[in-house]
Amino acid sequence: MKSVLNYFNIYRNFVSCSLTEELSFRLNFFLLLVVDAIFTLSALGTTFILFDHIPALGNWNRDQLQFFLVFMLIIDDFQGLVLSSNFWMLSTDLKAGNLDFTFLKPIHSFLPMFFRYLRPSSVISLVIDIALLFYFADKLHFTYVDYIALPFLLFLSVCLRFILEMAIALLMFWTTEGVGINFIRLQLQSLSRWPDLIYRGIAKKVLMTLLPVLLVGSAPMHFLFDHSKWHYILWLIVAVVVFAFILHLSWEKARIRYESASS
Amino acid sequence: MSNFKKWLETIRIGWSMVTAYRLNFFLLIIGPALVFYFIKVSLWSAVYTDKDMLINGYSLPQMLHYHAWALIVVLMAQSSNGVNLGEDIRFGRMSKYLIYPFNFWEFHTASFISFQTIQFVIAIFTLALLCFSDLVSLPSFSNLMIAFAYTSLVGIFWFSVQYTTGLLAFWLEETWTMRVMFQLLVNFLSGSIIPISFFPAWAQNYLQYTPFPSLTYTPINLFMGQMQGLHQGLITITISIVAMFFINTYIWRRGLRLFTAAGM
Repeated sequence: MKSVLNYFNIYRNFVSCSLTEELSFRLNFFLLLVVDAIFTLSALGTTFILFDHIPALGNWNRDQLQFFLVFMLIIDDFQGLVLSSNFWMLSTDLKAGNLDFTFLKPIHSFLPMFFRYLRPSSVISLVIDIALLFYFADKLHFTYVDYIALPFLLFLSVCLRFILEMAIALLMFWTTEGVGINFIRLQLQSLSRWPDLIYRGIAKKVLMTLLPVLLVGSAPMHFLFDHSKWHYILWLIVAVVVFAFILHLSWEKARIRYESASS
Repeated sequence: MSNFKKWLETIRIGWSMVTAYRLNFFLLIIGPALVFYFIKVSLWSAVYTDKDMLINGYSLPQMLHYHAWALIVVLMAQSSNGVNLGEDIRFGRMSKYLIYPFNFWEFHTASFISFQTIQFVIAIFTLALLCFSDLVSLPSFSNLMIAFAYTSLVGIFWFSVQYTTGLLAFWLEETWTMRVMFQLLVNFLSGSIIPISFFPAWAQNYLQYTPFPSLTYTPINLFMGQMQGLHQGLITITISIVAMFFINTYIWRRGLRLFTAAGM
């Protein structure tokens, strides 16, 4: 219990520092909001234009695709809020040898390595995207069961996204130059922002199993749009557990691999 | 003549730097363009439910041709970024250019030329692969040359914008937000994902007064052998480059007054 409280206090300080830092550069804070707004508008705009010319994408209509997009935007917001900045810092810290200090701290290194820097501006786009999610859920006539399942599904998707991205980020311990690895993460995010129904063949199989980035958004949608497809949720849970285990193993290997750049 | 040697040497150093970190170059520059292309091919293949289907005048093969040419345009014209430029200012590395006989603009422009020549070779190689795979059909030789020349001009405009956003580091803590903002707008409004002719009429009307269609939609059409839009595109891009030049000069002069470098 004391240990949990200790971790909680450390994280509270991380939040406080990040908030102070971000609000010190107000123009930057404002620009981050504008980037998020343009991202949301361009994603929704693309589907608006597309569906002006087609009745459906696979068996999904416009509202279903837009619900999916907003669901993915929320996951992006959570990631932007909690994780994203840390991946870029990890790349720099590995090269500069700053991780020495992280490893020496009497806490699990994951906390300062992946959760040290937050991006509080994402909270604003998160609130807007949650409002949009409810708007599209209402258009799709969601039942109470759907509304109750939604936070649980969102939690599972966020967990899978976080675990996958942290596992990929650990590859930086092998490559040392981490910017390329960060770009791999970004490309996998781009792939997952479209539903699995647009992909075919080996690509789809790989992106649903070996590197299940498509499960993050598509699995909850398949269940919400058709409750008989509950196996997708089971698949999502299995993926979370399996990749959490892979992350644990990768971390053990990465730690051994680490060579201090400062020594 | 001595200045010409400096340009050549900087271009040569630029080649060495890019080819020294090949994996990084692939992951940063070529990878995103290929993934973007893969997503668009997957999306449009799913949109067209049968082979004979026409959407807004495009059949599936025509749409795939359109996006194959979009890949070439992106590789040739929209890959450079001003990351180093912004960092040079932010971290005070810019000081050395103030005393070197080869100034800041010259160095970054030479680096851009070096990068652009490599991108040109990659684009030609990609085009050859696409031709062999029957994913694109080449227009007449003269049209192809016009399209290449126009796309190179777009590349210069792209660099001008990247240079401007980099210079904003005199005032901004981070300049990546400006770059990402521009990239998002271009992806959406230039016809990278959906051809401009799919946009509602009112949006098309507004867009013709912006440089966005000239950045992707016009060069793709040129590569596909359609010359309409060439004159308007040429005028728009040329005016935009000249405007960016004056804006850059103004920002540079204002920014230099703010610049301080510690520990020199």
